[in-house]
Amino acid sequence: MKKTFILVVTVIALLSVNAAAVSADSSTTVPLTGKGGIFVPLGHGVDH
Amino acid sequence: MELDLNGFNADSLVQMLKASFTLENWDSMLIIADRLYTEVNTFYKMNQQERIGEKRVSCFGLTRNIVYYFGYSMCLKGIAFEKLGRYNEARECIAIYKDLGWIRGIDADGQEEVNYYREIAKGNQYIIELNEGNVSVLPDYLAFLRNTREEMMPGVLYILDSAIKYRFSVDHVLEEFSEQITAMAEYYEIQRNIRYYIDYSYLKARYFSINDKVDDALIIIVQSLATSVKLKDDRGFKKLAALFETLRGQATSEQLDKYLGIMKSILD
Repeated sequence: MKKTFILVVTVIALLSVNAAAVSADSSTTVPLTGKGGIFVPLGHGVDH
Repeated sequence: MELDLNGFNADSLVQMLKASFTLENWDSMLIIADRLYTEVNTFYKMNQQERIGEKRVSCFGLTRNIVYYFGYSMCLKGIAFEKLGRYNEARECIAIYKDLGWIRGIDADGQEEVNYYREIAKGNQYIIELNEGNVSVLPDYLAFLRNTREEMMPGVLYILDSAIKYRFSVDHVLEEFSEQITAMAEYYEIQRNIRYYIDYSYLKARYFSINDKVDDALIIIVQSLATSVKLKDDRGFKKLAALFETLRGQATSEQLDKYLGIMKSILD
């Protein structure tokens, strides 16, 4: 049950993250959540 | 690991699959995907009974076509197996969503989904082959990526990863796609695209470093380190810094100064 709760909270947190446009010269930063970075998991069809 | 998925509807399960994928929780993906497939299959069978009884067909609150859920569940399950190195099981999943034409009573949207998953199955099949070092599929995979633009970025990353692992040349791939990828990187529409670009930079640098283009590699690393700091991509930063350190002895004084400047900026 606890693990389910944690998973649900994680989903909600991930869903509430909004992407922002970033330019190389902008001081705006976009915090990356999750385990992303190298290597972002790859897979065709994930974002469908 | 036990997951209590009771009470979650199909669309929630889809979101949980995406979240699990981002968190690289492959084992959870297997469980959730199976649950999604079972749930949608139950709906489908009920729909078929309703059709036979000439009753009004229920939609069960699904926000997308039922074909999508069949395809998505098996697609993500297959990807999870691929990440776990269970390639034969991944292939079994691909075989399921490769051909969803057996689903009856679908409309034009449903047929589009059938067509979509048929194409995506090809891409994921090529990925498994590349993971196993079967370079012969590369031309076909490139043709797939050219026809499926939205899959280009992850595809190129896969190719680079395989090229580094199995030490084959993909200079022609970089020549063909570099410009488009760089242009895409200027529009950070979703966070996954941001990470893809940092990953691309890292893999490209690593590829160059093992192909006697160390200076090119270092240029990319220093640029990408600055980007990863700006975007607070700690994992990307760690990998890039580690790669830089392995090449430190071949860095120019200018590159070393830039690297030091980036490190100092973190302390500010």
